[in-house]
Amino acid sequence: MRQTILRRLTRPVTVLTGLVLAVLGILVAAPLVSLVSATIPADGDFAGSSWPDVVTSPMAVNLFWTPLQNSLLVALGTAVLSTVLGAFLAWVVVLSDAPGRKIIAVLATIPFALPSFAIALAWSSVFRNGRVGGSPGILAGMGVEVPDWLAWGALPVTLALVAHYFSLSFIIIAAALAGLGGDLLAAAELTGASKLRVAASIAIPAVSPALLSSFLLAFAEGVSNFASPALLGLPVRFQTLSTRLYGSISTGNVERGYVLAILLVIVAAAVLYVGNRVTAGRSFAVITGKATRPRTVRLGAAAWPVFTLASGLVAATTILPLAVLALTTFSRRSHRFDDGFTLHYWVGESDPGVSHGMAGVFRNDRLMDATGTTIAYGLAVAAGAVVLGMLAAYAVRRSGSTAVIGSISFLSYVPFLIPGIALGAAFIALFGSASSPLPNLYGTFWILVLAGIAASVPYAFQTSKSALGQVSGELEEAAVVVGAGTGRRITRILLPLSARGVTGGAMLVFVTTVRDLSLVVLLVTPATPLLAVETFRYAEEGFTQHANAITLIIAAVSVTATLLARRLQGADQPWNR
Amino acid sequence: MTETTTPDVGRGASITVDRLVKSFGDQRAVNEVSMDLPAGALLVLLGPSGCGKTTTLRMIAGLEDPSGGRIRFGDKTMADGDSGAAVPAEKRGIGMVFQSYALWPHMTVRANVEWPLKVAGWGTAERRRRSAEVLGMLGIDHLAERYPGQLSGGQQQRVAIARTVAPRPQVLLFDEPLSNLDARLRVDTRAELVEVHRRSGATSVYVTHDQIEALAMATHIAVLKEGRLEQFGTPDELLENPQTAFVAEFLGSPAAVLIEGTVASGELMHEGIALAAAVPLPDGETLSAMYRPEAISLAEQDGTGVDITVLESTPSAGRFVVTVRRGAKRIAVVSETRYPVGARLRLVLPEEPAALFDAEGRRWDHLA
Ligand SMILES: Nc1ncnc2c1ncn2[C@@H]1O[C@H](COP(=O)(O)OP(=O)(O)O)[C@@H](O)[C@H]1O
Ligand SMILES: [Mg+2]
Repeated sequence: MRQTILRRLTRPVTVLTGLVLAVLGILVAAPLVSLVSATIPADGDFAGSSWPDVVTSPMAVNLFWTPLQNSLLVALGTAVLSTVLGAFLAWVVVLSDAPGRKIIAVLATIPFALPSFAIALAWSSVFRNGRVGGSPGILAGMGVEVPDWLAWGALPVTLALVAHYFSLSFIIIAAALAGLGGDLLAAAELTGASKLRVAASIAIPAVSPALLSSFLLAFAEGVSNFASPALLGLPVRFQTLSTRLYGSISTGNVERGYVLAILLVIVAAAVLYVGNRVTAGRSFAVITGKATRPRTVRLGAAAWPVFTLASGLVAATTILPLAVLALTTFSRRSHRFDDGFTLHYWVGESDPGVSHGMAGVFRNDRLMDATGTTIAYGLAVAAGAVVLGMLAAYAVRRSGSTAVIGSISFLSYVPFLIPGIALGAAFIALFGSASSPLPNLYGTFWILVLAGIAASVPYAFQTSKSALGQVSGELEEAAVVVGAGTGRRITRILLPLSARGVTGGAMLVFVTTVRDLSLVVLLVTPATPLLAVETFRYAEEGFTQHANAITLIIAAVSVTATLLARRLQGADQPWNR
Repeated sequence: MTETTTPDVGRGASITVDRLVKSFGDQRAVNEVSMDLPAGALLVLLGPSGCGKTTTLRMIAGLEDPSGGRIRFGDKTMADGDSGAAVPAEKRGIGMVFQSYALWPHMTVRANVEWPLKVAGWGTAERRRRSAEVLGMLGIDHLAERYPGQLSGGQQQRVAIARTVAPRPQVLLFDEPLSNLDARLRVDTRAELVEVHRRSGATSVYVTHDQIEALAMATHIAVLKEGRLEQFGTPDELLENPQTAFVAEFLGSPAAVLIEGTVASGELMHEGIALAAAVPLPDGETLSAMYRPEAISLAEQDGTGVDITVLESTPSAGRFVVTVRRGAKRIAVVSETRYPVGARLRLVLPEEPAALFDAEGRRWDHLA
């Protein structure tokens, strides 16, 4: 009896499962537990803790309720507009015969590959007014009076988020529309129903799960995004939950920050969780048979207006902001072009007369240092997340226990519900406080890597699962039959066969990691500079050209790697076939 | 299923297809196809995969515009590929069953059937009555409140048919509607489809690559090959009087046997055996002689005949379909006895072949 238990414990799959659960426990469960326990007073008396400060005290309005209201407002605007614009573009690309559909389809996927602060910085470069000092934007430089509501606060924060997330909505809705199959719509057209009626009664309801899930994703992202409100709201004290959380921790009110982090997690997770539940049973999988490509709707005279609208939209969120960023980095003064152009901000030596003597980005030791750290950070996270994702996916595939499968799947999913900045706070609670049982890693490279892996686990796990899923169980069983052990099966059968999907997944983890600001903004210290955070600091301090130049570098890396990764994964988009 | 509810009989339209062409780029998917289909007929478009059946059907439906030629329903022109004029699909009075069924996944079975009626402006009570009637006719009235995702393939198929016939279209179109069903269900549903066609009174066009299905259902068959019409006619005409070697070998179970010979001094010879006499062609020309499988017999002993090897014997209606190998070619004949696999036998051919085909596969006639 004892022997069989021992044998079971040492079976490779059991060992692997235990290992995966332990790592997920440390990376996912432990930070959350520390975050919560750090806000629970030792004597159990909540009256003296930070909870009443944040929720009920006189300053709670400022600290929590107003930011909550702002967050929800921004999120609602982001969700509605992203879904409407994403659906419109998806319709143009998949179902209409508008000219230029191919190009629109490519451009519409790019904003999501850009760092979310790129659009915010571009907005600020154009619309910034004199309200908070510093050099104004291009419009102000041309003598245009830019009203505050256009320069700062809810509207620009929301629009900058929409410019980023409509792209995600587009991807989700276009895939759903393309998956419907042309026959479904042809069958409706044959009844004699008008185009509008077919759209309203058939196409939209049939993709309603995609519409809903795009709405909720955009909503949750809108609640949790940090970069956009930090750059366009914070300077005028337009606070959201995430900027409040950042403010509390960076000014030393750590416990309040933790409380805000917990509340932020609750709001975001509730939205995403409800979304998952609502859409789970309602995915209208395309039934049987081969789907035909949808017949395109003839737009006739409306073709050019539709084209103008769609291409204007994608140009305004891709080419235009990148062009603005580029232009400012080449002009001597960020807001006006009559002072001449210069390469100073890219390659110039330090000159006390310009930008307080800061050298161009390619001559700047601190930035070169940050570049090195960022790349090392991205690579370490990509490697770690993919290895963990693969092992977790493999454990789920081979384990017979529903409890094990359930726990691994759950722990791998949880970080998806947690806004980056709140996850950062939780890592401080676990690895950066004296009361934690784990070693203090705050200020080291490793806390960044561990947090990055935790944040990327949901994606890495899903990708690995689907990559492994494409290798049929029989291929592996054939190797079992000839006596190949677990390690050998993984390295000789599974890995080679799923390599493309996994490599593509690793590249996407790399880009999402290096361009992300919210997770790391609380975790970096001068010893571990990262490009995304440097950009943010420069922007805060008014070094517009430097911030924009670094953003362009990150954007170039992001977009290239995203396109490459999509190609590697064979995600030849379904609507392009 | 009551007899009072068959007012639709006789609503079909005749269909005329005149030198129909469809090009995709420089490939001609459908090439100069012409046929005349009487009202109420059931036409089967038959041919191997990729021969242009779906494309032809979709042009008849109006889902695809012809590159050339004309389609008429009765005396009304539906599409003119030369002028580009076309009646839109929804104005043609057609109903179509898609290969993928194309059921609307967010609507119940009843809603799937009723929505087209609603679009056509039927009243609520009328809609309800008609949907109950067609669902009853197809034996799926108990599924009315289910969603398509909760049905088996065969049930989905019936819903698709019910939805198509409910508005009483003049023309019914089917694109390989049985190809996603298992063998048993295919045979059952086939008979039901013929019944649906008969009761609706519509003119039907039915696409399949299965010649058995075609022979079982059709009043007319059009055999297509690489976009061209090989032959159009009734099943009997095609079986009795195939106009091309392709049709002869494609239709029938088992299909006709073709044996190639060379003309020598006015006789068609195959390895020293005379296939046909009095062939007025120069020496060296090749022709194929067609024989009906039931007219050929197998002989064990030496004698005149063509050497063959037995591959398999399948019992069929008290007799046996014996498949034999002749060089690289497989031939099926009907025999009274079973032969063991590997037996070396001879084919005994009748005096005269049932037909001759030239080297291009066209029918060749002595007198012509
Ligand atoms: N939309 C299309 N674009 C280009 N080629 C097509 C298209 N539809 C069909 N074809 C080609 O036309 C030929 C006939 O196709 P189809 O009518 O679908 O054949 P079948 O239904 O007989 O299998 C095929 O070679 C196919 O590849
Ligand atoms: Mg077809």
